[in-house]
Amino acid sequence: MAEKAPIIIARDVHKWFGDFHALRGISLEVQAGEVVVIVGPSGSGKSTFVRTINRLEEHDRGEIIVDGIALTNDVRNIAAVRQEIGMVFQSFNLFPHLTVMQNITLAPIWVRRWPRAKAEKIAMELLERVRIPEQAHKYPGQLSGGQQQRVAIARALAMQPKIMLFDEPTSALDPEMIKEVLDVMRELARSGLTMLVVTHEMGFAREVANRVLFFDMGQIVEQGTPAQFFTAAQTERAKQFLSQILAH
Amino acid sequence: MSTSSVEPSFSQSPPLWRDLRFLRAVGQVIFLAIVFFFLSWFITNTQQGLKRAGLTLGFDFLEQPSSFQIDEGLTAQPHLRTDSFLHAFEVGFINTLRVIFIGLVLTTILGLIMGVARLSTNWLIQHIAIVYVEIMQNTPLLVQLIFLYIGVLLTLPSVREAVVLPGPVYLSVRGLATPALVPTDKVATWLVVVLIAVGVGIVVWRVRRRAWLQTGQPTYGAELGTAIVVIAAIAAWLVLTPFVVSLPRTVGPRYAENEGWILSPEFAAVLFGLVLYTGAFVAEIVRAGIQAVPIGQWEAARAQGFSHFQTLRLIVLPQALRVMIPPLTNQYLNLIKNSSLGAAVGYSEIFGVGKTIQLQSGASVQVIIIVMITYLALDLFAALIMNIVNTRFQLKTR
Amino acid sequence: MTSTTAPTVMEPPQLAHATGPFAWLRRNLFRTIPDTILTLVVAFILVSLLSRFAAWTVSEAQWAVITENFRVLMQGLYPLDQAWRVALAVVIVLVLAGMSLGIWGRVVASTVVTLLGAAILFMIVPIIDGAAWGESGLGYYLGREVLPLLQVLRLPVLVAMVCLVAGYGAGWIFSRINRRAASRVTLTLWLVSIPVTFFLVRGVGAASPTLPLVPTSLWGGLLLTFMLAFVAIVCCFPLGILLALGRMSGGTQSRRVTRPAYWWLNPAQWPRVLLEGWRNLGHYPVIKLFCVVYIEFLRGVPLVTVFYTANLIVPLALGSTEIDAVVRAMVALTLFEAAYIAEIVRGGLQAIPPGQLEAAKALGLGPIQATLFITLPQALRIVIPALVGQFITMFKDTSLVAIVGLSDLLGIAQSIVAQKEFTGRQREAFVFVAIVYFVFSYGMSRAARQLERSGSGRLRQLGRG
Repeated sequence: MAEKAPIIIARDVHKWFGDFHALRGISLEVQAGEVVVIVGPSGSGKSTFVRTINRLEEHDRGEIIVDGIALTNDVRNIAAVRQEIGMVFQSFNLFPHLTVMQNITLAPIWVRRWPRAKAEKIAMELLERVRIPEQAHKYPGQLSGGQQQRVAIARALAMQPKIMLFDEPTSALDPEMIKEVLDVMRELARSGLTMLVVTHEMGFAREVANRVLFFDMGQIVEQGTPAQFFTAAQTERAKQFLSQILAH
Repeated sequence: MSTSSVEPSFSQSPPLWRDLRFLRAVGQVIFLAIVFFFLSWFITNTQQGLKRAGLTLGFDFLEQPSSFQIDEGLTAQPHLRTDSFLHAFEVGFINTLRVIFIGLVLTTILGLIMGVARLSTNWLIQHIAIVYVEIMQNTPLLVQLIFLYIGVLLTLPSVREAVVLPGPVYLSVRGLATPALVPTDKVATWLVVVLIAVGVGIVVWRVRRRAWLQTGQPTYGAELGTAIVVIAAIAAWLVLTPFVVSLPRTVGPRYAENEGWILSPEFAAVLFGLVLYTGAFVAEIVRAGIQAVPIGQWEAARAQGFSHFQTLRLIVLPQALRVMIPPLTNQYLNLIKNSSLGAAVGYSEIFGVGKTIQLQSGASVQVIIIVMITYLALDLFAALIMNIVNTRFQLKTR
Repeated sequence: MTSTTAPTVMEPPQLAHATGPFAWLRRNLFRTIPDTILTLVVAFILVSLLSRFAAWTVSEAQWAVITENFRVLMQGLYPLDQAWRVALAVVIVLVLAGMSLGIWGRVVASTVVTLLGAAILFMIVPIIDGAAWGESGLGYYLGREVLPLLQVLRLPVLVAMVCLVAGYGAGWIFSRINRRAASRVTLTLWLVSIPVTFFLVRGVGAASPTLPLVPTSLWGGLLLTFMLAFVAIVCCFPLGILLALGRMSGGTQSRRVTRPAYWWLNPAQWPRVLLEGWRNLGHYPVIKLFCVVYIEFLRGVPLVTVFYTANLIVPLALGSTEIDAVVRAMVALTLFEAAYIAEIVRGGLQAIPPGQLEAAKALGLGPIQATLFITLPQALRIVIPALVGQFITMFKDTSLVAIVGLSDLLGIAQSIVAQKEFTGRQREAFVFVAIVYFVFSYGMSRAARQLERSGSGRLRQLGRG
């Protein structure tokens, strides 16, 4: 049987913001079930790249193919891709006027057209998985940051996506709440979900990642397994970055 | 849903009917078509209706004589029957400007006073301000205007029985007549002399001020400068007589034309109605602005030894202005637009004049276009100026 | 306050700690010398003005102009045998208002006192026989002029208060049982009441036995004022939302454009600036441009000119079809106010963090779904106070139809006063009109402030995070 196709393919992706060249030729292949962690200084294009994968940003040049679907201006393709990808944001972005349960079931009911009973059953299972089933009927404003982010993860998982994108999921959390969110993410990684994570949590990267990508100034400067990257970085910029991050 | 191969074999551009950009363009074209269709139907119908009613379409009517006269303006009878429609529009526009300029100044002053009064520690003053604001804000402007005009100003006695104050100043149903200063041909010279004196005064002020800053001794630069200007103005006046006093006079049931300065009841009604109404809103804006200044500012000023009024003037109000300017702009624009209600009390501002012109000439569409464009232009102009003021007042941040 | 070793700290005057009426007077009215002078001067002016006004009200004013024309002032020329429909509509609205206050509002002591006082006044007054008050002077005028006025107002005011209190009681009890159900039921009832009251007043058709058509030309007075405001509010709200969405369509973040300084002086740079401006319009430039032009145009012209235009142009444009003057005014008012509603809603839309829309898109929600479920509910909740304020302003703006000859409350008052038997009674008529507007406008503002504090304010609290 032929080798399984990578679930994400990016070829020579460029993006400009006005005159600013944010992504300068990113090429990447991610296999199904792989956990890829992206690190790099701020402004290096990490978030921008991740957001081009589910078309929150449009790439200006190059190809992006997700699960065999090419990401172009085709409305059907965009909708299909977005259903296969779940995203978790730095600022949670929960819908404050809906309860936790309504937050999670909104998309499955209205996009996947599931009956309400099925959506709510799946939602409760997910809430159990992220360990906050008792919060189902509260409003996001009544939850702590860590709980909100876990709800956001459950909300993204409710669509049963093949890929999960994480854009600095713990950067807005108080230190004592980071662990609970990372635990959930670890468990997701172990369950075989394809994950693309932008983060500064190096411990998480070392433990869970299959591959680490180092972004700088819109390019992938270095990539490798965690062991390779953290102990034997090749390029000067990567070494400099590591020394700054790992100093404290 | 997905193609099976690794390399997508189809080209990069999706079929047209699913392309996002194409769909967006199509949506807009459809929208444009609907709007266009509706507009053209409307315009053609209007043109046909105008033709059927035998009304004109071009703007040439503007040059025809107007066959009505206007008695309200910078002079006693600024527009006669033989003057053109265009001239009537000009006079109306000037009347709008008159009420707007004076109205804006008075509104700001009244609003400031009432806003500060609203925050006074004196119970009586504070509650008078509260009652004033609530009454003015909750009754429609038109009702206030009509009440002012019909209920107050028109109940003044007739000219034959006018109230006479020293001056002479006559108060009657035809208005307030006061002595006026009529400029002669020497006015220009006098103005030039005054301007030169002002320049000299400023120079003197700055020089003395610098000396004061350096030596610490009071040198009364401002007083000297002002004295120079005043003395020069008076001296020049005595020598040149740039103005002549014109006293009002009653002739039977009327005031004599072009003698003295006559404030017509219509103008007074519109002006005071607008000022009292808009002033209430400005008062609330001033109050909100002052309350937006953190209380620490007051405390720091108190600690430095400033009095209540000094604090208000030097520290709190400048900061409050920052918050106040956008809503204040809104109220100014409202005043400009509300000046059109002058037509309800017979004041010949541009909307009222427009109505008369439409009755006389039948040029409905053109009159409407002219009037609306005038208000739009005034609106835009005022908004631009306030925008510049706003930018000046913003805090400089990193 | 003595202390044994305290340094010479200046004792503050007793003001801050003293109590009692004298201390209150000193603190609030006579704190310093200038303050005292100010108080005395202002009090003198105030007292003289008020006594003059009171004297006029009681001895010179002839309120017959109001009492004899009360029906016309309230309903215009609405047929007398159908007047029950108007009364029913009013009752429905007042009961609903009472219910809403019962669920969401809090009763303030001053309101209760005012209502009680008014109730007593209007219930006791008619019992007094005015003629027995004496033949001349103050008693005479009170008996002959003021008393009939109060008697005429008695029934409407009492009925209104009964409805409000009954509604309040029902709402209060209901909300104690189940607050969320009460809220939902009340909101639904409000929505249902819109077509119900409209058809109640207007009628269904000429042939219908119970609700024959009452043409809008017969509407007048306070009824017309309310109907104008009502229809305009109901219609301009969705239109304003559409305009706001249109103005925000196709990307809300405008790219920071670096324009060369003084670009407007150099014609060679105009094409480039125009192109940048066009790109800044986002993905739907035509729609956005249309909405911007519409909104800015209608916000820049006075409302009277819009009414005037509608009166002149619409008959021309629609040929010989006679569109009723009231309908023209409704259309003009709707189109005008929609621009203001649009700006208010746009402010709410801009206050929503952009992450909300991104999360919605990432979940796969389409643009219509995202707008309906995510952005609009949040935006509207944020701007409810401003919206209510604008609705109250609209109520007052309806008075402007008097300038184009319609018979709303103000217009009818003007035409009444123009009649021969009532000339010279302008002050009474306009004071009455002003008081009516004031009562409704002030009442609605107070209710809105209460609603904001307890109702939507709580909703907005939930919106945090």
